[in-house]
Formats: sequence, structure tokens, C-alpha cells
Amino acid sequence: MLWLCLYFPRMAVEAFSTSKLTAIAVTDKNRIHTANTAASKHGIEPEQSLVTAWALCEDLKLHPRDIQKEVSLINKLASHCLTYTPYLCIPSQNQVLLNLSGCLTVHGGWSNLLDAMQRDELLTPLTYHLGVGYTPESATLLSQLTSENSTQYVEQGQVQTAEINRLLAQYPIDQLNIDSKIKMRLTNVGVTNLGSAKQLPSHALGRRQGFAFSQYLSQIYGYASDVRRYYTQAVEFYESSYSLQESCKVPELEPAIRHQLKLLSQFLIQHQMHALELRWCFKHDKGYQHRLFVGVESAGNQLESHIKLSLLALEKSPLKQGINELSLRSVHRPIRQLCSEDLFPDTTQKRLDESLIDILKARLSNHQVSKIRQISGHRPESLQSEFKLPESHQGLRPSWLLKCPRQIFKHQQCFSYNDQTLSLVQGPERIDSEWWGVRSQRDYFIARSNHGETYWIYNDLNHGRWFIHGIFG
Amino acid sequence: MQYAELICASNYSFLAAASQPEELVARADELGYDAIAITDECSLAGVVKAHVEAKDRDIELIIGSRFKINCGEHGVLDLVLLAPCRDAYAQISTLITKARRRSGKGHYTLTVNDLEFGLKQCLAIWLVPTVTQYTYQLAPSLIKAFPKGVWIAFSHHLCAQPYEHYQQLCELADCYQLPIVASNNVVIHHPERQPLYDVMQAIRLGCSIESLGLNALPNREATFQPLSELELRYPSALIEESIAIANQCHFSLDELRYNYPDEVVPSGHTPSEWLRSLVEQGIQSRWPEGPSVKVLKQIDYELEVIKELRYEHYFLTVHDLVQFARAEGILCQGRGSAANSAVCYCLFITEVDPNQSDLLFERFISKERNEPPDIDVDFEHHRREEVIQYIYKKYGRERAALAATVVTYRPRSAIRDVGKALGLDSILVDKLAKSLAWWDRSGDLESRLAEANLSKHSPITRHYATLIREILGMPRHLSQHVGGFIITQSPVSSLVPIENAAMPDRTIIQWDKDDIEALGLLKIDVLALGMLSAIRKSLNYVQQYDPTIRHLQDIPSECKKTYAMLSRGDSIGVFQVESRAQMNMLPRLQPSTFYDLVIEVAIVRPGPIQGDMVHPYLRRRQGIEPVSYPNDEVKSVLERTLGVPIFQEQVIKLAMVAAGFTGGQADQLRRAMASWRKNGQLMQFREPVINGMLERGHSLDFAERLFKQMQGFGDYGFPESHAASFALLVYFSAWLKCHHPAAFYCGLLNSQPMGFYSASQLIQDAQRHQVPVNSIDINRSEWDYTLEYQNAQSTKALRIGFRQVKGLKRDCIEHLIQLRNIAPFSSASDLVTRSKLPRDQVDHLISSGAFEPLDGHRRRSHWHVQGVQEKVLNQDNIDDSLVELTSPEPWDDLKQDFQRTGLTLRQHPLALLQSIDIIRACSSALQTQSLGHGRWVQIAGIVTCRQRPSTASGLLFLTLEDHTGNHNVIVDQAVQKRCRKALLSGSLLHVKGVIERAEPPAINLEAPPSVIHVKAGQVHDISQLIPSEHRSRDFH
Repeated sequence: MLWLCLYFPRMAVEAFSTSKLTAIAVTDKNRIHTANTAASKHGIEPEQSLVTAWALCEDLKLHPRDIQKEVSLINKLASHCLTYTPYLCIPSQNQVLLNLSGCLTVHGGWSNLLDAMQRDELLTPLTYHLGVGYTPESATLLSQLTSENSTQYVEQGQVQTAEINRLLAQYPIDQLNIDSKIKMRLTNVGVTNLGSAKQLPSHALGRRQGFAFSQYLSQIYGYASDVRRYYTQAVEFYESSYSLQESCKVPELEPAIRHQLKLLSQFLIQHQMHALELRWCFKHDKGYQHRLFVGVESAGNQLESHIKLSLLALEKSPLKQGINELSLRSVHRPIRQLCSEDLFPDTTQKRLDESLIDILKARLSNHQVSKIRQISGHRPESLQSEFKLPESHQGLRPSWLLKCPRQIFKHQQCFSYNDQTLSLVQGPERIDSEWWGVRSQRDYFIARSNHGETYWIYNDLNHGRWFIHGIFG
Repeated sequence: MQYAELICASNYSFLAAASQPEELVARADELGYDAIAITDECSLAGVVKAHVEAKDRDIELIIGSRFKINCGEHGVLDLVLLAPCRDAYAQISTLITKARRRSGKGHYTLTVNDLEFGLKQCLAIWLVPTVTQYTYQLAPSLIKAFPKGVWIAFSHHLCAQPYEHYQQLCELADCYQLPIVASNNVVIHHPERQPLYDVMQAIRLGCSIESLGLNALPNREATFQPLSELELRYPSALIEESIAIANQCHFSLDELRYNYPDEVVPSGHTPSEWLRSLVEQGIQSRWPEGPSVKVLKQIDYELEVIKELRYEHYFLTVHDLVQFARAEGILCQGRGSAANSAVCYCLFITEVDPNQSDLLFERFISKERNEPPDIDVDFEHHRREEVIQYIYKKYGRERAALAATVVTYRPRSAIRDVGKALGLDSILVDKLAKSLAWWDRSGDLESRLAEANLSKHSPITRHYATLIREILGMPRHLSQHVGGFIITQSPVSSLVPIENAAMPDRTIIQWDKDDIEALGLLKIDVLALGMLSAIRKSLNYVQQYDPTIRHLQDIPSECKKTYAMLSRGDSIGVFQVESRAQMNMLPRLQPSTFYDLVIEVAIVRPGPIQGDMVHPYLRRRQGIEPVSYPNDEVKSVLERTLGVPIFQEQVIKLAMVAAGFTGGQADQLRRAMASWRKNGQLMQFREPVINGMLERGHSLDFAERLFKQMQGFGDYGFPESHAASFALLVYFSAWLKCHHPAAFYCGLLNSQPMGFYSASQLIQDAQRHQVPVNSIDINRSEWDYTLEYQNAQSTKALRIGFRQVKGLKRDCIEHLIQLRNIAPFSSASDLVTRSKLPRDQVDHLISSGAFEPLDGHRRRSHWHVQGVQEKVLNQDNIDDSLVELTSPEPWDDLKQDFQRTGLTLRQHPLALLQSIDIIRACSSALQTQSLGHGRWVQIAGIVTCRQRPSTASGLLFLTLEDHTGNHNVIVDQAVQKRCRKALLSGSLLHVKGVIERAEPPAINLEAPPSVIHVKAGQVHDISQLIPSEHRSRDFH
């Protein structure tokens, strides 16, 4: 068998952008996860803190890691690689493994296949390395070993077996994905690469380093089977329905919505999938279109929940004119494996909370609903997501904090806002902190309006302007 | 308006405040405050510095301390105690001691009950951030504990709801009739220090500044405010209350005095009588045939001065320690200015014979100086702990404590701690720290940041640079002084707080030696000297085969062979003369008498070098330049150094004989010389010196030259007595090396770490002296290096000890030796089976090569051991030990040797590299010996030493080692700039340059080898050629 592994080391960042000029990096848990070439030139590397990254490159653009984007991209690549071979698998989130046995003839030989890949419009913008081997694991390893073009394996249209064996033999032990203690023990007995490991009796090696390791070694060299599950293309759900009459009211559209959701429910059951998002499109021939995205992750595959959420979302975002076509596309994923649960699980409250969040999102839209995260700090923006202060903070804080402070203007000793006149009641409370980031030097005051409302306002000490930042009660 | 700031934390609260005590005092004075209290948390560490600053200013200093007492669920009781009088000060100091001694280093523990007794003289200021029910419950206890007064503090930092808080405090105050006082609760002397304060908080709490949350300062108000601003913020009654408190406080640190321990004087004697009687006993021991008249006169004079200044106890205390050491067979020797004292010689504190030296007692003690004496005594470093424990046992921990050393931020620690606090990755921070050269100035910081790829436009980089500069020199924590002890009759804690040091059973006071000196307190230095341990051990080894050499006194003096060895520059391992500068000087100076060694020790010092005395001395010694003196008085001072002042005492004596200074005046001149670079006070002596000399008939040229030499001398010159003390050890160690090299190296290696050279270099030197060295052997090595006798006892070889193996634990080795005594080990697997040693210890032993004689090579040992452990786990009988493993390559063995032991007995790495073109084209160290001056050359070698002395005009000296010896390389500043990275971090360097030779003096027909250097033109880092784990020793 002949296997070809495509390894995409910058998948996480190239899922956002394949730009080679702008420094871009993807973050995960406040650390750099992957950086593009432009960022790497500034010294940005994986596992660096964000502070380090900014110190190295003040223009660095950051994106939080989006696994969905990566999964979507790798699936797209895998689907595309089906044009090269019907047998491929995805060993990890940034690798595609192709079984080329029996396919080289179709492509006219190894060189032609490589040429085709190099001209492939989907692959070209991405950073990838190739590895070729006679087993899946050897191809995977060799794709990570070298960034050289795979033509080194080919001479006169033939795959160079000797070259593959040579590269495998030289593969360093310390680059294998095995326990570090095993690596150390192997190094101690002079086993520094796969070649020297292969020379030792398997049973003796297994006794000392564990049989999992000797099994792994056997899989690399093909002495033990390494069964892989082949990739199958994702199934899509798309349904649309047409009507001779124009409709724009929810009760009129409800039967069609119910019908399509019923079909979706059957699809999900059939393919053992779990719906994440419903993407409705309401159209008229004459060009009017209205799209609605409804998150249903927590609703499970409950048909009635999908109906309820969809109708709620439609009520929140009504149609501006009549439509005569209604289509539904779903975002879904395979149902997770069941894990052990308590005999008497108390998930009622959790489910209630999750469905409540979905209802709120549907009613108010996604942007209006966010999770509360507790952060301790002086600068109010640090508490943006927080509506409950740590107990130790002594000051009064407003119930509502405006996302963007609004400027107000001073007339004599008062301020005007929304046809109200504000007078200062208490203060100042000086906040001059977080000098390392966005330093804010502000004197906060509590102000009361002539209508009896209480506001939190501040004077920006840098330029003397006044702003409303929050509302009490 | 009058105001006193009564709550101020300095950076001696250690990372809990961001201003120096001096800065706080200065700023308060600038703003017109009447008084300031330094109130560090459970500490008086910063008060002396504040005291010295306040003395020069028109502001009163009040001494106090702050305490945060955990009250469990009720929160924290935050209290400041002030000392209005000496008794109150003692009470605060005792409380701090009590709190600190209960906890680990750097921490303290107090409960509310601790306040109940023993604080009646103190004034208390109570900080109440939140008034609760418990506050009301606590108030009566506080009022009872502090009858002299309790105040409630109110601070207005423009935080939320100050008026509500003030109202609550008023209610509390009214309820218990307690006054309220205004305080700005200062933690920074200037608002600009806010970032530094936050960074210090982050360092202290072990987090980044982003995680500080409410621990960061909310604003910049916790600082000194102008009086006009205070008037706006606080009611006038509160401000007046601060003055009312300040007016009650009259205590000054100048009142501190203490008594010496009485035990050293037996009953029925006065201290003076007892001292005299001991001195007379000493006279008889030292001079059985009687001392000279000069010496007797000197002794009488010294005893009179000691009596007049009442320092008898001090001498008796030091004598007692020395007697203990001598009784226990611990080598010890006094040094420094104390060696100017004939009394010290009689008491066996020092070893400089006044008959043979011209001592200057005023250098040690003078009436005019009004400073306590300072006696430094060196003990064997491995046995110094016995002396320390003797002190603790004799005087108790209450009456004896070590002085502290304040560990301050240096460039590398500043880069690391500030970087971590800002959230920079440790890899980047580490790389930046390592890129610093010890000679870099603060202006070079931006270049280092740019080299680490930090963008200069990034705000984070700008903050980083600023904060590093600000934190440099700030205290980080207290550590123990190298050996300075305070010993008192009454408890030390009534004088200064004591706290636990990091070492178990070790306590320190909160003041360092500068604080002690500033207050005129006495300190005894119990120092450790590695060479004393090495000499003692060497003598023990020599005794094994030559019982005639048991003590230092048995070593014959003025051995020609020893001087000849030194004159060749063969001085690796020899005390004080093993540096490359000394090794270059020895062939030029060619010592042939003991006094030559005294000069040798003193002349290679910044003072004589910068004063341009070295070359004139050498020229005169070589007969190239004539020796002349303006008159007999000057001749009497300078004759023994051929007319060139080399010793500190000579400069002082010249001031006396040539310019008419008294002894004390001359000593003041010496002190001005010592500090003139800091404060320029020396210049005020220019006129008296020159005029005095002119009046006595000296030429203006001679007077001006002498004054110029004084400027160059500074404080870097040695006193002659000190040089003489050291010269004794130079001679003893040289003699041992010359006549008993195996024993010498064995003693030296068993006393590591010490000295200038690594174990690897010492062993190579031993081999060059035909001392065979045997590798570590599991069945032959002991923990220490040992002597082995070969060839029917005629040849003594060194056996490397297990102490050389990194990571090995001594108790594991001792266990192995016990098993080995029953039956030797037959293999590594035999050891594993019999010993049940932890896995890591077995691995270390294998990596050290200890099993090579049994198993052949390391890999085989590891293989067998892994198999045995698996067998034990699985309890099976499979034997697969006969698998053939490839032998390690020479490089693999070398790498393992260096990684695990820091040395190798195999081929030198450079020998293995001879097949590589770039190395083959190089001249070896041996080959360069025969190359002429000015000849172009290529060399390569492993960096073993880097040195860049401040006196060398920016030159960097490298020592590169190859398989034949050492190259000495000089690198000027231009090449340093071009090749900086290679010079700082390379472990194997390729150098192209030019040979420089200094020919030996013509007077000696048996010319030793010339002093040869390579002046570098290009330096390349070729470390990638070796897998070595070498680390060089770097000296300033």
C-alpha cells in the first residue's frame, strides 16, 4: 500500500485568512496557538503569551481559535481530496491521509499526481507538507519530518522505497508522540531514531518500554495492522418549499416551517446527527430575501423545541414583505458517544437553563445575550461582562453599564442627556489604573436627573470630556 | 500649615511599596512636612537609611511599624505602632521579633492576644477600612493595650464613598472617645511610581499584572500630597492631630547603644586586666625569647588605645572564638586592617608578625576616627558552621544574630521578575536576561531589547524598559550576611528585630552592615575561606604518608623550589595568585621571598593598576629604572617597595611623614580616598597634602604625583597587613602544590566550590603535574576524592569521588558503600537488585560512567537495569540481557561525562575535532608558545573563563582551553561590539588574531616562558561542533 499524508501546520490561522503579508495569529486560552508566516517572521511562536506576542509585533491581528472553522476546512479539504482517491482519512485536525494504492494509474503516475496537487487551487493558498509511506503511520510521521517537496521520493516516476526507509530510519525518537520517559529510556540505551529501535528485538524492547510502544513501532513498519476508518462526506440537509400565495405572517408560514422541521428531524435520526443551528431563508422571486439563524444546540433533537424557537425568532425578526419560497439548511454534527451517567441525574435545572438561554437568544437575538464572567478590576470596562461585583469592592456600581460610554455636555454646573438635566450628587471616585493596556484616567460621579434617574458619569482627565457610563437601578 | 505623615511604607516592606526610605524622607521634606514616620510592615529594615537621610534635612523622623493581624472570619486588624521613646522602640522591635520568629523566612504571625502585653509605651494608629460589629468589639482591647493612645486613621484617596466611610469612623471614634488622624497611607513617594508598585505587587503575589485585580492601585493617590491639597481633603482637626502625635515622639536611633557580653571576662578581673593578661600569655607563645622593644612598645600603645576607647570586650570576644576554633582544629586567620594590630597577633587572631612588618595601628583603630574596629576572621568554610553554632550555644539566640544582606534587584533579576509580572513568556525573558553582559550599562538596555526582537514601538516594550530601570537597586528580600554577627549582653531584639533566615537554625537581624556601621554598632565577622578548608584537608592527606607535616608550622619557609614554580606562572589552584592577571604578573615579578608574595598579592589590584604603580615597580625591580627618594623620611616608607607606594598604609604614612598629617587625619584621608568616586571628598585634601609637602621641602612635581596616585588608589588598594595575611596562605598552598601535588589537588577538589577554576581545569592541571587521575568507579570511589597509591606506594593518584556527580545524594552513596563493603558490585543490575536505590540515582550513577569497568559502556548498564526493573515488576524469568547494543560514539560519552560530572578523562573535545578543517587549521596552545610577537594566528578552544575588570579600559580577557593547554585572548571594545553574541554565549570559539608576547626580565637567566596573548581580530562561535555542556566562569 502507498499512503500520502498532507499536513497543514497552519490550519488554525489559515482557516481565517491565507494572507502572507499581514501578521495574523490564532489564540487559544490566552496563548498563541498558531501564527502565519508574516507573524512568524516577527518571532511569534505557538505557546507564547499574548503579551509577548504584542511586544514582538504591535500590529499583530489576533483571532480566537475557532475549531468549527478548522473542522469545516479540513472536511472541505478531505472532500476535495476524494478527487484523488476514494480512500482517505483524517488522522488529526490538520492532516489528511490518502491511500493511493490503486490510484496512481488513474492519475498517470506519481509525477502527474504531484503536479496536479501543486496546481490545485484549494491547496495552493495553504501551507502544507507531504509525507509518503507504505503505512499510514509512516506517511504521517514523514509529513512532519521535513518540509521538502515530496519529489524527493520520486525518481523516474517511481516512489523511492530506499529513500522512504532511510528517512524513517533517521526519524528522531524525541519527535515521536510518545511518553517523555520512554524517550529518555530509549536514548539511554542508544536508541535515538527509529532505525536503531527497529534493530532491537521487539519483545525485549516491549518489556522495557511497554508493549504499546513496540506495537506502535510495528505499525510504523507495517508488521502490525493499522486499520483506519475512511472518511465519508458529510451529508447535508437542505429542504425548500414553494407557495403560489405570498405570505409574511407567522401563522401563515407555520405549516411550512413545521413540515420542513419534521423532515429535518427524520434526517437527524437517520444519520445519527445532532442539530446545532437552523438556517432559514425566506425568499420572493422578485428578489427579496430574509435569513434567520436559530441556535438549537441545547434543544437536543426535539422537534417541538425547534418549531418553538424558529417561530420565536421569526416573531423577533418579522418579514418585511411577502415571500413565496422557504428553505431550511441545518448545521449538525454526529451525536456524541454516551458516557456513564448517574442513575438519578439531576440535569433538569441545567436543561432548563440552556433552553432558557436559547429562548432568550431567539427572542432578543444572539448579540443581546451573553454569559456572565467574573473579573476583578478597577477599570469598569474590565467588569463589562459582570453585573455582580466581588464583595470586596466598596463602591456603588450601576446595574447597567453602557457598552460604549456616551458623551454628555456640561452647561454651567449641570449636564444634559436625553432631554434630562443631570446634577452631580456624589464623587469624585478616581480610577486611574491598567496603565499597561488602555489606561483610563477618570473621575467618576453619581449624577441625578430632574426625572429622578441616577446615572454614573465620568470626567476623562486626559481631555476633560464628560461621559455617561452606567445607569443605576 | 503643619502636617506629619504617620503611615509610610518604603520598599523595605519588600515588594509591598515602591519607594526608597530616602526618597520618602526627601519628598516629605520638599513638600514642607514637619515629620514623617517610616512604618514598614513588621519590619524596621528601612529605618536606618531613613534616619541617615533625615539627619541632613529639616524633618523629624518617627520610627514605627505596621502590622496586619489576621482575625479569622472578622477580617484583618491593621495597626501602626509608633515609638515615642526608647522603651517603645524596644517593645516594637521585640514584637516584630516574636512575630517573625514564629514563621518561615519573609513571613510573620501575630494574634490580637499578642498585643495585650509589652506594648504599653507605644502609640497606636488603627486603620479601619470597613466598620463592622467586630470593630466595635475590638476597640476596648486596643484602648487597654495601648494606654499611651490609640488613634483612628482616615485616608482620602478619592476612592468610592469617602464621606460615608468618614461618618462611620466618626461614630466609632465618638463611641470610644478616640481621636481621628489624617494620613495619606503612602506607598509611593511620587505618582509616577504607580506602575512600579503594581509590578511589585504582581511579583509578590506571583501573578501577572492583568490578574492583579483589586490588588493593583486604583489610582495614584497613595502618595504625598501638597499641603494645600491636604487642606482640601481633610478636616483641619485631623491634620492637627498628626502634629499632636508627632510632638509626642522624640526617639532617635542615635540613642541606640548596647553592652557586650560579660562572659568573656572572668569574675575578679576587669576587661582591661584580662585582656592584658591574655596578651602577655600570647607574647610568651609568640616570642619565647622575648619580643623586641619596638613590639613591646607597640603592644602597650595598642592596649592603651583599646582601653581608652573601651573596646576590650570586642577583642576578648573575637579571641574566644579563635580559641574555640583552634581547640577544635579548625584553621582560622584574621585579615584586613586587624592584621595591623600586635595585640591581635598576640591573641592569635592574626598571623602577621609585627617584628617582620611595619604595622600601622591607626589603620585599624584611631581615636580621631571614632569608629568601631572591624575584625574579619576567616575559618575553614566547611567547618565554619561549627563556629557559628558555638556562638549560638554560648550566647543564645536572643543575644547573637547574624547581620542581614539586602538582596537588591540586579539587571538579570529585574528583567526576569518584571518580565514575568508583565506577562511575557519565560523563554523570551530568559533569553533577554542571558543576553546581558555584566558590563552593560543601563543605556544598553534598549539594544538588548531590540536584539530580542521586541518592537520598540510596542507600549509593552516601553513599559518593560522603564520598569526595569526603576526596579534596579530596589530591595528584593533580606538574606544572611556572609558572617557578620552582633553579640550583645541584653537581648538583641530590644535593639533590632530578628527574623528567621532561609537556612534552618539561622536567624538574622533586619539591618545590613551599612546600617550597623551607620549607627556605630560593633560586628564580628565570622567568614568562610575555602582555601583554609583545602589546606587543612591537604595536610590531612599528607599526614597519611608523611607524618612530619601535620600543621602549618611544619611547612618549611622560603622554599626556593616553591618560588621557582610560582615564577613560572604555574599557580592554578594557589590562593590569590591563580587568576590570569596574577599568572601574567608572576613571571614578571618572579617572587623569591615571602615579602615578594606580599607585594604580588597587593600589586595586582585596581588601586596600584589605576595609580600607575605596577610598571614603575617592575621596571625598578628589573633594574631598568633607578630607585630614588626625595628624602630619608619618604625612603623609610617606600624603601621596601622600591619607592613606589603599593599598600594603603604607605599612602597614609606618606601623608604623615611627607605632609605632616597626624595618624587620624591620615586615616580620614584614607576614607576620603575610599569614597572619592562617590562624593569627591578627596579633593578637599589636595591643598593640605600639597601644601604640607611643599612646606617640608618636597617638590611640587612629587607632591602632585603623589596626590594623583592617591586618586588612583581609591579603596582598591590592600593594606600591607592584609596582603601579608594572604601571602601566608599563598605560600602554604604553593608549597603543598609543589611538594605534594596529589594531596593538594585532592584537598582542593574536596573543598569545591571555591577558587577560580572548575574541577575539570584542576584535574587537567593535576595531570599536567604528573598526578594520575582515575575515573569514578562504583567499587572504588568514595563520596570525596581520595588518594590511591600505585607502584608500591610511590605514586599517588587521585580517584574521582561521587561528589562530582550531579544529582547524587550523599546518603544513597553511603548506603551503597556499606553494601559494597559486604561484597563488591558485579554490575549495574546487581546494584539495582541489592540496593533498592531510587531510579534517578541509579540513572545518575550509570550516566557518570561508574559502571564502565563492569558493564563496558553506559548503554549496556541502562539496558540491564531496565530489564531488571521490568523483571522485578513482572516477576518473570525471561533473560534478554544479551542483546548487543551499539557502543556510544566518543562524542556521546563526552557529552554524558560533562552533563553528569562536569569533566572528562577521555580525549579533550578539541582532540576529537582535529579532523574538521577549521580546527585543524588552528594552532594549539602548545604551538603558540613558539610563535613570535606580531605573528598572525588562528586558535580555537572551549571558553573556560571570561573576565572584564573595570580597570582594564574595557578589555575583555578570555581563556580558551584546548587539548594542549590554555590560550589567553584579549578582545578590545570594537571586536566586542562586532562579535558580542559569540563572546557572551559561545562555548567553543574560533579566534583570528595576532600574537603578543611580553619577554621575561633579563635579570633571570633561567627565563620562564613568556607571557603570551592572542589579540583577537575576529571571533566566531562554533559551539555547534561540540555537544558539550561546558559553562565558563565569568568574573568582573
